[in-house]
Amino acid sequence: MAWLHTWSGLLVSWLLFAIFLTGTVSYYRAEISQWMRPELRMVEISAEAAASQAVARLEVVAPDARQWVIDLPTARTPETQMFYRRDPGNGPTFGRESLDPSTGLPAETRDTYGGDSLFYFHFDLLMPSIWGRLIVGFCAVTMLVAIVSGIITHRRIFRDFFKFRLRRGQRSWLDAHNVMGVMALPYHILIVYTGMVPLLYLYLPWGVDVAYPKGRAAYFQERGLSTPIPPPTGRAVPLVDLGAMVVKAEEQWKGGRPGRIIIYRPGDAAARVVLFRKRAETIGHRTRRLVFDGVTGNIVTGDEPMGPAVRTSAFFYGLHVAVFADQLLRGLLFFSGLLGTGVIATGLLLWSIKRRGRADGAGGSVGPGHKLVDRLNITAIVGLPVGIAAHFWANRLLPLGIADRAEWEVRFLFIGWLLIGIWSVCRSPTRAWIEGMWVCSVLFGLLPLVNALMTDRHLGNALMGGNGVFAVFDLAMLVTGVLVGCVSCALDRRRRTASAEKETGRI
Amino acid sequence: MTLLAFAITYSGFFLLRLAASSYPTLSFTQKPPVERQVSLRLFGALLLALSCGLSVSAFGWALGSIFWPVLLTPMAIAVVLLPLYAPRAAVMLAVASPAFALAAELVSMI
Repeated sequence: MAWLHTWSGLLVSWLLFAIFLTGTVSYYRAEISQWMRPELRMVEISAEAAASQAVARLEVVAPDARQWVIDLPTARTPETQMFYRRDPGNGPTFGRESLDPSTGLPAETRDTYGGDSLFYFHFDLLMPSIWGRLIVGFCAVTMLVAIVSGIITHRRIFRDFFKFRLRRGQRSWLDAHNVMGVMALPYHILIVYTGMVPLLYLYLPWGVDVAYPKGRAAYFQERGLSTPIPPPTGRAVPLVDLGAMVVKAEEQWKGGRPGRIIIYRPGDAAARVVLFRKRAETIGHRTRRLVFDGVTGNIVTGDEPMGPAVRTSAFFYGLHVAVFADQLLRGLLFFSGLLGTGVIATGLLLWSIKRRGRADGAGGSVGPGHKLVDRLNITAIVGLPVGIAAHFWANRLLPLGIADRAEWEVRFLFIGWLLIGIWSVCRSPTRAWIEGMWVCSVLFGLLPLVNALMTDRHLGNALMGGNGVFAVFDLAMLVTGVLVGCVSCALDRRRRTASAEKETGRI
Repeated sequence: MTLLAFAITYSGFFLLRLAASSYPTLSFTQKPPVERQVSLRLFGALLLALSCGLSVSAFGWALGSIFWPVLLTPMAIAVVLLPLYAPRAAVMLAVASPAFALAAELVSMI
């Protein structure tokens, strides 16, 4: 079983490290988006007011749209996000805008995708079409294999539960790998398993086909992700005010708040309005929704009970994205996610350390395969964090007016990553590790300074003004920078003593 | 309630650790005798069960059953790491933190 663990792990771990790290960071997707749009301020606004603002705006921008989608502001998202779809032939088929609730006008922010870039990377690697999603799914299945074979290989899970030996070289790495894997084992299994649920229809659509012989649409309707809409009448009737619907929904949900509003065929006599419950209020993903008649404002379909399979899938989906978590639970989940990232990183290092030890013992040097693994390890483990830091730097430093600004922010992520990859080929592995980590440390450590120079939302203001998100973000960057710097220093010290010993040995 | 859950989870894992290995600071120079191991394990498990109960009563069944397992992880890691770097402080924390958390809980009730 050990060989299965070794090779299934090695095969996908470089990518898996990136998927795990970006996924872990995405627990704070909304907060990252806030930091990347420093122009926006949090505004207290009622759901009714935000909904009418959005409708007023959409009536100006896309009165002829087939569908309007409005995501109301939450405690973690200051802006109202909306998008619309048009039937082909009358202009762009898709458009999106975000509104500043304090003015009701498009939010005047820098052009950025915010935390969404890292979030999308997590499940589609920012690749076109479905390729990225298929690759991520393959990695997830392989990780499940690695987890199960890892448990079987470990054998002494309970006896060695607390065992961690310091400064013992390969042993310490193995202990770290085991401790991080075992202590968060329920989380690892759960997160990898539930991670496949959101894209289940892509990976294994046949189960749905068997259970719903009339077609997948029936499944998505039961799941609450699509709504049967009557055909358009062509008669123009103004949309009823959404405020009353919001009040009705809150009555139905006993105080629960709506989060997303979808309006089908706005302005038509057959308009339908769907109110989804705020995602932070239910564990399951979009399990509660109400369908209203867009002209009379009456409820057409209530919260229909879902079947067990559909509920399970909604629950797993919700569990994976953890929008329901408050800041404490979110922090704990984030910590477990970091451990998962650590397990993958230490696993990769162990592969290399173990084989180097064997080669040294035999008096030989390591082969080309090993050299490749060393390079890829550095590129994966140091390169991506450097890329993320570069992404944040680009958000603050790129001129506001340039074309494709949001795209360029993402490009900087890959440029940073690529440069570390090139560097790892040019230098010896030990030096590349140390120097790469120095770059990483400096980039993260100086980010609060760059933020202070470029915006008025720096650490001092954030602390004085009691803005938790901006304060914690800057502090987290600072702490990351210092920690990575410390590791780099420790590695450098060890390299120097090792080379000094070699020198004296020769004399 | 949450603070108390954190504290007794740490103490519970600490007792389990004492049962599993030597702890020179407490003059346990070798693994404790079997009867001591059993009682340490029992008490440790009891505290962990208590922290499960606290999580559920603080957050309800749905959220509590998610909160508890992710609470176990960092506390177990703390029990692994802290004794390596600060063995005395690790013991102190295991004894003092539940007492402190309980006191804080009582004060907040008044």
